[in-house]
Amino acid sequence: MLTLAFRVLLGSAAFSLFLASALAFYHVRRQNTDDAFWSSVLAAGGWLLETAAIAAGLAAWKHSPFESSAWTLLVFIWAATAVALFVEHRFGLPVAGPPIFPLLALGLVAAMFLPIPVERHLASELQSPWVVVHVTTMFWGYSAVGWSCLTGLFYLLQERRLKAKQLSFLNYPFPALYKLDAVGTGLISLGFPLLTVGLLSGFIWAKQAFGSMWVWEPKIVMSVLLWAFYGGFAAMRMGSRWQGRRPAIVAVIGFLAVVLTFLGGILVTDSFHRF
Amino acid sequence: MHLALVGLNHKSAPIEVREGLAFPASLWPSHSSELRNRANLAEVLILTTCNRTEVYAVAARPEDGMAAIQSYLEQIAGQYLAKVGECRTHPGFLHKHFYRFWDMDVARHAFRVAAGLDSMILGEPQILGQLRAAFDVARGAQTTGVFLNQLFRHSIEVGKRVRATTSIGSGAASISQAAVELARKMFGELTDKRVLLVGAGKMGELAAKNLAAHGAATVYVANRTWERAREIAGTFHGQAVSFESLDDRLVECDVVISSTGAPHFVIDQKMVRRAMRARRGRALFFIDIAVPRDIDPAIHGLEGAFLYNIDDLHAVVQANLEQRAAEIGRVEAILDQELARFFDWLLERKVAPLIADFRQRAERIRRDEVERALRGQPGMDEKAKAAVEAVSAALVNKLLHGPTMMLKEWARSGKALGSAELDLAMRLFSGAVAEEVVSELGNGVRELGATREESETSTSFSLLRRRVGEGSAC
Repeated sequence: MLTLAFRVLLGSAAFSLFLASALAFYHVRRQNTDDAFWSSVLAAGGWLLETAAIAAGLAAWKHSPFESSAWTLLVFIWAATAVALFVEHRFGLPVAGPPIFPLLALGLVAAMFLPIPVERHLASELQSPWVVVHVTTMFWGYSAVGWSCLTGLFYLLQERRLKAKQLSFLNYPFPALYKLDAVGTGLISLGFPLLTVGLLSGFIWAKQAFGSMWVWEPKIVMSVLLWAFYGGFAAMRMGSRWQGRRPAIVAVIGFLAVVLTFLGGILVTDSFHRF
Repeated sequence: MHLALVGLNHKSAPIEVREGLAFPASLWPSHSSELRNRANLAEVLILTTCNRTEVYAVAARPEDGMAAIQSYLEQIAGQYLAKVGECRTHPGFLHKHFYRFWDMDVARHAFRVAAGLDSMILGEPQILGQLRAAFDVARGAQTTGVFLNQLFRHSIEVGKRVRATTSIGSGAASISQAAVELARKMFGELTDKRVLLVGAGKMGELAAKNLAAHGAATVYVANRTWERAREIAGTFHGQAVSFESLDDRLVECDVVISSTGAPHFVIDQKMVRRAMRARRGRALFFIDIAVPRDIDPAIHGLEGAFLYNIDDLHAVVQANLEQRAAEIGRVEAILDQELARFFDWLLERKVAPLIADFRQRAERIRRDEVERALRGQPGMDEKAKAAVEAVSAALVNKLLHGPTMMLKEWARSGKALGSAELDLAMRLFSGAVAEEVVSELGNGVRELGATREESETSTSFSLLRRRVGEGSAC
């Protein structure tokens, strides 16, 4: 029963996000503020449905949520949606979420169809609440820097339109450059602390589960390197010491590195860090 | 009574001709009264702007009235041209420049003008104010009456409605407006943005003034002459700054508008490179309105710097004008609606005197009969007398109701009144007033046979239009 509820909630969340994206698209084309309002409502609704799905899943399979790809995907998408909504409302950037929502919705649909294992997968010594903290904060942190990559892309796109003097920007204005820049900075300063907490909780869990904090595993090494990279990036952006085009490019490259790390982790290695 | 219009505009006459008739508003009253007497007009209103001179009138015989207006205007133009040494003014020299309308075509033209469809810049707002001014002056001089009052009141309403419900008047249509539109679209809101105006060019000043009005936090004004900077800054709460401090301002501001008369570059690459370094990459927008250009075009290639020149602003204006042109269809649809409303009013107005006359005569008859009856009954008490009055009045009203409604219905529907019906109308409503109104109705709808095929719209008002001469500016 709860399995069914789980799948239904995932499906409705995906649908909601699709609609939100479509309405946002119409908002940009027709400059109709009603569309923008309903788009936000639908996006928020989608996130609530995702949260409900997680709750249903936890109630159904009383095991840790990270023991299957479906779960991991769901939690990541849940974090990404939350950050999108945060960016939209805190920074007033209604175009932040909609380009990515279809992708997230597809992820949710995929999660609907992936198998959910009924028995516990993870060896007992690896069970711990710290796992939850670690993975959740890492996902939130990576979502934040992911969105900063998106705002960086928007910045570069808008800059190119302005340089090329394409007058279409008069009819379909993107957010202003200074705003995209400010949002990018804000996201990095949000993401870096989250990554810090994520790494620390990861070390604590490792100590509990394996007796030692550090393991020479490629994904862990890459994560620490990325953490250092984003730390430096955040420091340079603080106090408006570095603005405009170059930080935008760096934000994009940084997140590409994150994606490669994840993909590498899934495809290449064979350790426990693979989901 | 017919509406009539004689005029010329920027499409029908070149500036050398128009300037002969561009007399100021102070002369409107005197010319109006003179014209009213000479041309035997019931009402007259004069409108002159830099792009048009028009005389709206109401006359019993429109052809005569229009000919008289035309010769009067030619006389004025001739006098002006003689003063400036041009002597090629023979009678009728303006004939090919005038357009002439009467009846509903006058209303259509007035509405088009009010909507901005006849303006040099489509949808411009100034014409509405100019129409209002002409109306006020004419009313003050008491040269208008019922018809022109209603026409102009309605036209101004139409102008407002069209601008509120369509985009015929929106989007920047001038260089300074385009500069403001560009800045606003780049930034979204201007509330904490700083603008720098360099130079004293008119368009730059207008743009800066507009940006200040839209909420820009600070507008700096820099000029080689301190006094001039202060003067300009004073007109819109700007802040005068010294020309030497330009470098610092470039670091501080977000938008730079330049319109000096200098023949060389006022802002060059070196300055901007220095400024961009100090700004650490923060974007800076330049709008160069000057010709010759004030700002080195190579700046557009620098990272973080964006330079728009007057050609780009022209392109913005062009794009906007094209969008306005796309709205013409919607505007024409609204004009058709409003013209139908005006037509209804006009017809009601035309039969009103007839109905009033008819009622008056009926009332006279009633009075006479009641008096005669009461005289023959000296002992009647007040209540009985009152009853007699009441009965007779009610009787008369009820009997008149039918024919009155019928007349209004005929007028409104513009149906073909055959000669039998016209005859009936004449007999029912007999009297001098009846003759005039009924014949007008008859004339109007006799055109039905001829013009119904020509007119594309089947609304009844098109049946009452006639046009004299060539050269319609519609």
